[in-house]
Amino acid sequence: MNGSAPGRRRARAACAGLLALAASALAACAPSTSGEAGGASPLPSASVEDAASFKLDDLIAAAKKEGSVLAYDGSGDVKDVAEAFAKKYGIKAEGVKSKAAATAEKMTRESQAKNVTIDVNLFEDGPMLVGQLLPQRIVRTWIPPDLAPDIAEGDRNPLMMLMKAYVFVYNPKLSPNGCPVKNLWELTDPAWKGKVLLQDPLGKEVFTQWFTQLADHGTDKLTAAYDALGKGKLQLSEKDPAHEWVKRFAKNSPVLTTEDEDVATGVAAPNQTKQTLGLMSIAKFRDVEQKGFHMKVCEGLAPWTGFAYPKYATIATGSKHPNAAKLFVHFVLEKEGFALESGSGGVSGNKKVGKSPNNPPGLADWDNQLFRFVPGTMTDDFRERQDIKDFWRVNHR
Amino acid sequence: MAVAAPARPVSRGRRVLYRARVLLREPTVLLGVVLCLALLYLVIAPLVSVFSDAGRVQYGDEARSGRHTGDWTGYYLWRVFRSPVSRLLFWEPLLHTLVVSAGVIVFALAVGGSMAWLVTRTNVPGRKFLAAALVVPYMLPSWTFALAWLTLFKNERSGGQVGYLQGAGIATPDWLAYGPFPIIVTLGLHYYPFVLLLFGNALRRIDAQLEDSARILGAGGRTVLRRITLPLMLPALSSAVLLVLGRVLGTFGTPYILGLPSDYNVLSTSLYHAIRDRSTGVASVLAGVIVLVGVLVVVVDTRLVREQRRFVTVGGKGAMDRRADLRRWRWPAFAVGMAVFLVSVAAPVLTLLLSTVTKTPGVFRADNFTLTFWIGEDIPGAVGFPHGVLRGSDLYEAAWNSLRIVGIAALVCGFVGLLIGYVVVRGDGGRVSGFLRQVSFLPYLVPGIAFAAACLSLFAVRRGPVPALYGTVTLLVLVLVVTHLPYSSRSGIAAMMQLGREPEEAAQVAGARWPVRMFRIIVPIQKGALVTGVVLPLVSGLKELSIVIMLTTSGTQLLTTLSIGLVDYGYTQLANAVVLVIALLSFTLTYLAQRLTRSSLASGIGG
Repeated sequence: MNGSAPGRRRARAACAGLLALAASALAACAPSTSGEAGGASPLPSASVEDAASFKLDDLIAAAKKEGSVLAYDGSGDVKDVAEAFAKKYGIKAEGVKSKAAATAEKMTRESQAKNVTIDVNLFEDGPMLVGQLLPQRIVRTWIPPDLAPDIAEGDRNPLMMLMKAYVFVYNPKLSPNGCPVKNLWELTDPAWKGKVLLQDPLGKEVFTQWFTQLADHGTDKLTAAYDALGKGKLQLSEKDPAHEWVKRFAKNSPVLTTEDEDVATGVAAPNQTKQTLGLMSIAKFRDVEQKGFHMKVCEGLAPWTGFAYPKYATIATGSKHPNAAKLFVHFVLEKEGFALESGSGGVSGNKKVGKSPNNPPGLADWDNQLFRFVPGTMTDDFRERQDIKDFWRVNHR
Repeated sequence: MAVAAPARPVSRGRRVLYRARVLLREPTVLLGVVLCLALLYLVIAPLVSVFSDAGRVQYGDEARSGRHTGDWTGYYLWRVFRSPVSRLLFWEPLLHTLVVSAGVIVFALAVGGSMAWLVTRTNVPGRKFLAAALVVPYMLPSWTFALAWLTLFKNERSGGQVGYLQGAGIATPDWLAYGPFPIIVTLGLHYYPFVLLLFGNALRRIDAQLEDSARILGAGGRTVLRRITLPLMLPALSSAVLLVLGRVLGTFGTPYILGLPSDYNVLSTSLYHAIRDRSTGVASVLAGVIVLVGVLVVVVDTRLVREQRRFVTVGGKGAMDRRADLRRWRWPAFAVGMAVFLVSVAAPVLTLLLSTVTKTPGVFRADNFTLTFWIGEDIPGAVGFPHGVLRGSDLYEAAWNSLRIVGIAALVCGFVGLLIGYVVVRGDGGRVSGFLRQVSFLPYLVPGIAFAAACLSLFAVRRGPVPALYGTVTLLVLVLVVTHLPYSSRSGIAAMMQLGREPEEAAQVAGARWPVRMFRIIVPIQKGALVTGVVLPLVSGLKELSIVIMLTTSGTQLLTTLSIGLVDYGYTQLANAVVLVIALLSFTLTYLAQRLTRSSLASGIGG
């Protein structure tokens, strides 16, 4: 073991050389861990198959042959949808709740491994869809030809299954005279410092998309709302009123959580004693019944009480059950599937199905009470995502 | 020439044969090479793929970096180290990481070290109980400490239910509820059992005669401690520091939960954000830095251990083990032990237990208590899990899956770990031995999420003779083995370092071949280390979440995924009940291992 010094040195050098070689060889063949695609490809077009040759019965028969389908969704409702689907068609169906980013990661991996298990992706992160999953051909859009006439042109690529909403919610037990806030800009006042609850925007892409959409399409109303405060003209220190609001809001120490559930509990649990305001999904209104929460949508908040965001339905490109997946997409676009996904309100992408009757208390008029995402600028949302996150990061106190 | 020629091949053949025989009799080298190749493939390859991502343009970043996907770029390095957000992405988290790591190490060493001494070297009452009970914190998933802490101390800076203290009208200051202080305490409470186990093992193996000899030669108590005991403990000490540090560097659950309300980021949470955002480039840089910090520590550790050479504490000679008499300090010492037990085990477990039997957590009225979440036949309105956890088959299936998958991984781990220990120590400072020692520990320094991601992209696709493993249990077992190998290789190395060659040489003289020596001499002597090498990965694997979430397909539900799924649906009570089941399972398994082999974690410490 005690070789002579020069011998050992030579051996060591050889060893180091070999290691370096091995490392560089490995580096050369190491795959990227995020996916391999050459350049940013444009969004593939989505066209409707020939409606005349499409027969739903044929699709059902083909789907039954495939035997099963697995759907991922950001909302837990998918479990019920899958159950109802299985009951209706006799096809084994499973629904899994999973956060958008995790789903995207998993589907990318599966597609690389050519071992696709997730067949249907019900996805709320439109920018990710348009910016990555669709152009990388990990998922594709299929529009049910028989329903196509009732699906608006702008909602087809990607295919919107329904629209849900995030709303500001207060505790009516603690302020029985209605929502304590009348204007979004009030949330940037010292009076509301540390009293607004929401999920951490860095982990919730719908929020960052809301911010960028506000900057693109909501500045007029935001400015008007500030004027209505009677504090004079809005002094901008950022490039537009939306960024200004986001900055002031972030600096006002909003309380961040990891789940909507914590927002709902913090605002509305029976044993809460302090009035706070929470930004949460309308889906959380199921807690009113289940857990005795006191919550109501902040009606009359100017310019909006919240925002409506779309959820899209796509099919994995490499799905082993393409027909069952199509049938599942068909199912969620019909009344039955929609009803299960919209227990506390929503608007279907299928105009024939329309709005859900179960709106939460305080939210009656989706068109005027809510800021609505414009689907055409999702590529911009995707591009600006990192910047808006950095913007939030720098400003949050 | 003509005569000599035919003779030559014969002699060469003989020489080869002789060499082969020697190799087989002392197959350390052969074994070492095989292990090295395996680790090169399973550890180094995924790491290289992570690092190469740090320098290459990822999909979607073409515009920012001004290059095509896959080109080499310094953009991610710039973003992490120099850009306007670098302070928030990297520099602050780095500083916080250093503070938290130092804090946790000091905390864990102080608590774990003193407890190890108490249960192995003193006559404190209830030693056996303490020895078993003080390891329990390690069996709870680390995030439960954070949740329990929040349940007790949180104030209005975070959402969810009001904290118990807040509910009782006591305002908790922010520094107590969030940020470095609670992170250090909760992580310290979770990881001190590492120190306890390793110190306990080492303390028990030290021959008390060595200390006696020093004393006979006139050394005072302090000199004995400084010149005899501490140097003998050094391998265990450096192992303990490394194990704690590695985990602290990579854990994101606790710092995330306790740091979010006050924007306190450490490197692991920064990495978690990057992975969650799917910004692979930044994530790779951060993962690289974390590994680098870890490697630096390993280098220091190697230096330390090399300088101290090795101390054989189990030789062929007789050994003595004696306990200090605490006299009138016996009961106070017991009280201290119990206090540690209460804070680190009883408090979190009770907090969790209380939450599982209340309808609204934190409200203590008679009508608020219920057993529905355990045994209820029907929980109204619960999506997907409409009954108590003990009903239906979900819990049992998940428990079986956990046991099966993690069990296999742990067994493989334990045995490979001992083999690595054998090769490293018998290889006697050779390159193979050094390589094995370092590389078998590397996965420990790589945060689990980063490693799982790398393994996925490497082994998910068919490569040469290795089939595509995505979605198979094999891949999960493989990754679990690799990520938990550090535990068993550490314990294997530490144990083998203390085992002299004499017992084996005696057997060799008596004509025993290598397999016989391995199974009749090494394994029985190292039974304690082997059990530790199996149980540690087992317990840690049962709680494993991030890797499991990434690698399981929806068909295979494990206990942790079941629990986190329930959290996702907002059923805190049900989720906490599952966590308690995990803890109970870990504890039962450890206890059984102890009873069946009559030497294990606890026996490694006391008894």
